[in-house]
Amino acid sequence: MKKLIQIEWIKIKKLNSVKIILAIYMVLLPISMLGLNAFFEKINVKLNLFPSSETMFSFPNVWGVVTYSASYFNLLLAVIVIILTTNEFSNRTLRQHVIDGLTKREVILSKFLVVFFLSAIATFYSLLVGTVFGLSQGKGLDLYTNIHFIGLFFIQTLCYFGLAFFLSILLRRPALSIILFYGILFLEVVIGIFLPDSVYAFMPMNNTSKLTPLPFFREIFVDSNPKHRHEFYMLDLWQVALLSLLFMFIWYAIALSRLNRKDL
Amino acid sequence: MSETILEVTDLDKKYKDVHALGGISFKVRQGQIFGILGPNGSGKTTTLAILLGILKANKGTFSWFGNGTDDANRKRIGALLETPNFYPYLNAIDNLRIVAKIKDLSDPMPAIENALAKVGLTDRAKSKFKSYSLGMKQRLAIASTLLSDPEVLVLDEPTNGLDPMGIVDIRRLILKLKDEGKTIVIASHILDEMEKICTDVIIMRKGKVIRDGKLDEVMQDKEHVIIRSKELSKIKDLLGSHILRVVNEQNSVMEFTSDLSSLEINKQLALATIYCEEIFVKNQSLEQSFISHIEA
Repeated sequence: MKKLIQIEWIKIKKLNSVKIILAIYMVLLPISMLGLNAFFEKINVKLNLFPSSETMFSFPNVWGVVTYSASYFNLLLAVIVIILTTNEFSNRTLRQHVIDGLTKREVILSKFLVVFFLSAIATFYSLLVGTVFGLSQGKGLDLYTNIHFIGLFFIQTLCYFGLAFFLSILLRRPALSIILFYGILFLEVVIGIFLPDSVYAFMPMNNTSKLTPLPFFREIFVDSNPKHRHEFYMLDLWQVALLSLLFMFIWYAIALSRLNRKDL
Repeated sequence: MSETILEVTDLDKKYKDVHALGGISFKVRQGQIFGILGPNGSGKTTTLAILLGILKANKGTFSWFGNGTDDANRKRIGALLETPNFYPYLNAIDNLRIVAKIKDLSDPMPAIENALAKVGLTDRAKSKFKSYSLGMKQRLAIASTLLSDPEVLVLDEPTNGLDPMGIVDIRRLILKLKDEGKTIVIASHILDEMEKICTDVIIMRKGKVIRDGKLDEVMQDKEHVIIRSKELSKIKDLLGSHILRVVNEQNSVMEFTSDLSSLEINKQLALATIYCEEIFVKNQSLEQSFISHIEA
C-alpha cells in the first residue's frame, strides 16, 4: 500500500490542475460560508432559528454551516478525481502500469487511496475552517456538539468521489465523465419530482447529499409542516451513511469488474 | 536445450468483426532474440498485448517462465508496446521512479541513472516528457524496459522514430543484452534490422503463424535463383508453377524464387535442352524471404 501511495504522490505533486482546484476550493469555502451567514442572518429575524446572541458561526452551528457549504465544493474536488483517473487512459499509463506489473486490483486500490486522502484533506480543511470561524465568534467553546457532521461529510466525499472515479473508468474521457457526473446530479433531482419519496430517498446522489443537510433544515422545513415529517426523514442519519458507503462499495466493485473484463 | 521462457498455445483473439488471432502457438527459449514478423494487421501487437496482460484472449493459453499468467511474471519482463506511455508533465527521472516503484526496486536512483545513460538521455533527465522528440520518447521507453534488469525484454517496434545512429545504438544494446543472457522478443517491420539481430523468427499473416524457425532456416526456405538465358520464355513454360515469384526480369536475366532447388532446375533445363549462359543461387535477405512467405 505504501508503494501505491508513493506512486500516486509522484504523479499528483507536479500536476498543476490539482493545485489550482485545491486552491480554488480553499478560497471559496470560507467565502461561501460568509454568504450563507448573510442569508441566515436575514431569515433569522423572521424564523428565530438561533438566539440573537449567537451567529451561524457559533459552536455548534458552525459544523452544519461548514459541512453544508463544503458539500457543494465536493463537486469541484470530484473533478480532480476525474482528471487523475482519465489521465491514466489518455496518457495510456494505466495500460503501461499493468504491463510493468501492477495488478488491476492495485490500480483500483491506488485510486481509492487518492480518493481517501483527497476526502481526508477536504474534511480536515472543513474542520479547520469550522474551528477558526467558531473560535473567532468567542461565544462558547462547545466544539463537540454536532461535530459528527464532519464525519458524515467525510463519508459524503468518499461517496461522491467514488462515483466520479467509477464514471471515469466507465467513460475514460474527462469531459464526458464530468458532464455525466453533474448530469446524474441534475437528473436525480428531475426524476425525484416524479418518484415517490420512498424510492427517491434511495437514489445515490440524493441519499448522499442528506449527510450534510442545510443548517436548520428541520426548523425551517419540517417543524413548520409536521405531517410531511416522514417524507423528510425516511431514513435515520446512520442508515443514510451506511447506504452511502454501500453505494461507494458498488462503484468500486463495478469499476474493478469492468477493468478485469475489458481490454485496456 | 535451453529453458522455455514463454510458451504460447493456440492463442485466439476476436474483436467485434475481426478475427485478429487464429490459434497461434510458439515457444521462446532463454537467450533467443525472437523476432515476430508480419505485415500491418497480422496480429503481432495483439499477440504481445495478450502476453503482457492488457488484452484478453478468447481462447488458448500462454505461460511465462513456466508460471502461467501470474501477474508477478510481468515484473520480470521489461516491455515496450506500441507507443512510449509516460506522464507528459513529469520529467524522465520521475517517470522512471514510477516504473521503479511498480517493479519493486529498493534503490531506484542508480538504476534510473544507468538506464538513462544506456539510451543517451542523461543530459535531458530533468526535462519534461512532453518536451521530448519522438526519438527521445522512444529512448526513454527503452530505458524503462531496462530499469529492473529484467530477464526478458518485449519490444514492439523499438526503433520507431529513431534516427539512423539511434537505430544502430539500439541494435548494439539488444545484442549486448543477448550476450548477457537476456531473452528478447521483438516485433518490427524493419526487416534489415531484424535480420541483423534475431536468432529465431515467426512470420505472421492474418492472425496465423505461417512460418517459424531459426533465422537462417527461414531465410533459405525458397531459393532465390538467377538465370541468364536467351530462352527465358521457354524456361518459364517449363518450370510453370514451380516459379513462385519473379523478382526481376530484364533483357535475358530473370531472378525468381522457386520451390525447386537450383540443382533440380538445372537438371530439368538440361533434360529439356534449354541452355543457360549462367545459373546461380543468390543469398536471400530476410526481406525477400518474408515477401516470399507473405505472397505465397
